Amino acid sequence: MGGGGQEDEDRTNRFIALLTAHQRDLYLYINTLLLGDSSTADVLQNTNLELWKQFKQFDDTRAFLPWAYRFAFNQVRAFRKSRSRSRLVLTDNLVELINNIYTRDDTPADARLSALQMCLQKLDAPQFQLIRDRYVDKMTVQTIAARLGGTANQISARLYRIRQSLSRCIRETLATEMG
Amino acid sequence: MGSAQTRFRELLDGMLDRSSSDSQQKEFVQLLEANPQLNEDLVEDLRTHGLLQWQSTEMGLAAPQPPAVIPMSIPSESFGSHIFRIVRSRWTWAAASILLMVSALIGWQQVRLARSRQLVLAEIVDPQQAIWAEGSSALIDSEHIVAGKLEMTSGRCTLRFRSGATVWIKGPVSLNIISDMLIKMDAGLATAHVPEWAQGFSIETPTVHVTDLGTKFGVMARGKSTDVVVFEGKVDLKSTAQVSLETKQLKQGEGVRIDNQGRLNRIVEVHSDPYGEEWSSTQTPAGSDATIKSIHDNIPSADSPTYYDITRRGLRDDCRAYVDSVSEWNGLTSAGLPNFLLNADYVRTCNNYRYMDYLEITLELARPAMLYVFFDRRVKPPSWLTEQFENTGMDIGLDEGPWFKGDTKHTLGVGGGQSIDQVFSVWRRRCDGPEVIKMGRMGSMKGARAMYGIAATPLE
Repeated sequence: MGGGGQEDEDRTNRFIALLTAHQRDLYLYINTLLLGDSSTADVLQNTNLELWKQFKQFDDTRAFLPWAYRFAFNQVRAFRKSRSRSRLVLTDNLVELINNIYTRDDTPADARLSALQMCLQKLDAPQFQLIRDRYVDKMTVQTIAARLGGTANQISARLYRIRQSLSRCIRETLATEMG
Repeated sequence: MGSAQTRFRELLDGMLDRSSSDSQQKEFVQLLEANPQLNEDLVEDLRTHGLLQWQSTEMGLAAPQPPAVIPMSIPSESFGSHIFRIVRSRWTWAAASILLMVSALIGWQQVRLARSRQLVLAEIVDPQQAIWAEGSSALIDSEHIVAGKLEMTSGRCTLRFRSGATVWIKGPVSLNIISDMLIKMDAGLATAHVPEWAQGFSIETPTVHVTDLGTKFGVMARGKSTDVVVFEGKVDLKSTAQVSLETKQLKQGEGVRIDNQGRLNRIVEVHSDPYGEEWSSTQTPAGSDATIKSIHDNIPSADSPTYYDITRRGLRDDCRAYVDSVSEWNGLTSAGLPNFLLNADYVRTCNNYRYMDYLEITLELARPAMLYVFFDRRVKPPSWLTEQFENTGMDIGLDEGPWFKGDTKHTLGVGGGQSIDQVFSVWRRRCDGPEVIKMGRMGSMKGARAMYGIAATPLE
């Protein structure tokens, strides 16, 4: 194999490594812009394919994620266009606004996830059970409300408070780690 | 702002799980547009929501004889999207596609190396009466395997591949070793245990290409169909006969039979030995001394491709309680499980069925037996239980283990009395003949619960 071939192969391997390493970041970004829509995985896959097609244009002396977010944002826009307006919750303006807020913080998803694992241990049993019902057993707030008693709105507010305490704990954990 | 924030919190999760009404969606958007600070709160919350979604998905998916297999009620193409809805972690599909790209690259490089240098790809470990057929070109001596044909007419053995994958095979089996990441199997039974670093290890049969995503899975190829059963983790399935069909994913506790048209059928029951090696996705193995003959339920195939695992003589402390989780049965004290339960045949049920309100399980005994049901004490015993069974007054424990990857709060203990999370009462029913027993749902009351377990011991 010639030097050029080896160089191409090294570059390809580096790109695959970057793409693989940033799947969580891209997922969280797309999932946020789509307000947790179940099509996140499809849009992420389209983003991956687009990034794969364009990787020769990637300047590997620069940060990967801001470059990748641009493609992801375009894929989110394409997805929203393909959907009827009645099925879109957020307006275009709100999506732009959320994008601007989201990209201000570049803390890696892996660091957040590690912090989350520690923070989950601090929840009390009822909080933990609620998170488990919602995320592991994939129950809707209406199902949880029917099971526990109360209204969907009350369950939603409880889940929000738990996530808020987790978000606060993640911030504090990351701040401590960064010293 | 205070009331806007309160209303935002009330509406948010309905937006996220798509259970909100059109008017609630409109109200939610109006709240965001009128209160810019809420957008900051929304972004922070969605980050954590996404992390929780991601975290939760890392938790730890002979001839056909009814009722071991129930045909799917919908075509395979739509099953594909359905099964994805059931098993696909919202992120794993895309991550898997990257993994596949990487695996393909690694696999190709390894094939190239193996061919050029005749590398030893695997070693044979612990052969038990293994008889190799003539023409097994992959066999260079009694212990080492290179690329080529490998046929074992009878016996059992384990192949330990250089990639880290371990494959247990049972004769008769016909393999073509392509690399240490890919074997082709024309016929026979194999169980692969693949560590995370060897993700991408694949077994291909005439009907399906099975790609591991860090797991333990079984493949049985025969004639025009292949059975795939996932014991831990996840696998991707791709029809080799109908390449245009999309890739399907199976997770722990799920099993399907795939034919040469790419059609999928749910495997309802799997018979296992207590050591986690030998298994069968057909009816009770011939000549078996099993006490439980078969089990099936009334769940439409399209709703769940989950199987029941009947483990022969397998009930003991620290044995897996469910096919779809890591939870284990244990005695409540260090003395362990009650003696009368030890080495009973038992059924690993699906814990995910605990809230299913139309569940009906039908179990057939092979011989006169004492049939046991382990029922969560947090739940009021339903009438099907109280009317058919009597409470022995004995209890056992469920060690739930970690609820997700990285959970250090809930861990698996070792031995009786360790790390017990829930208590189950033991109910029994004497069956003087090979009876058929019907069991129902957990009940309608609210509150947390775990699915019941089933065991049987032969009557003297």
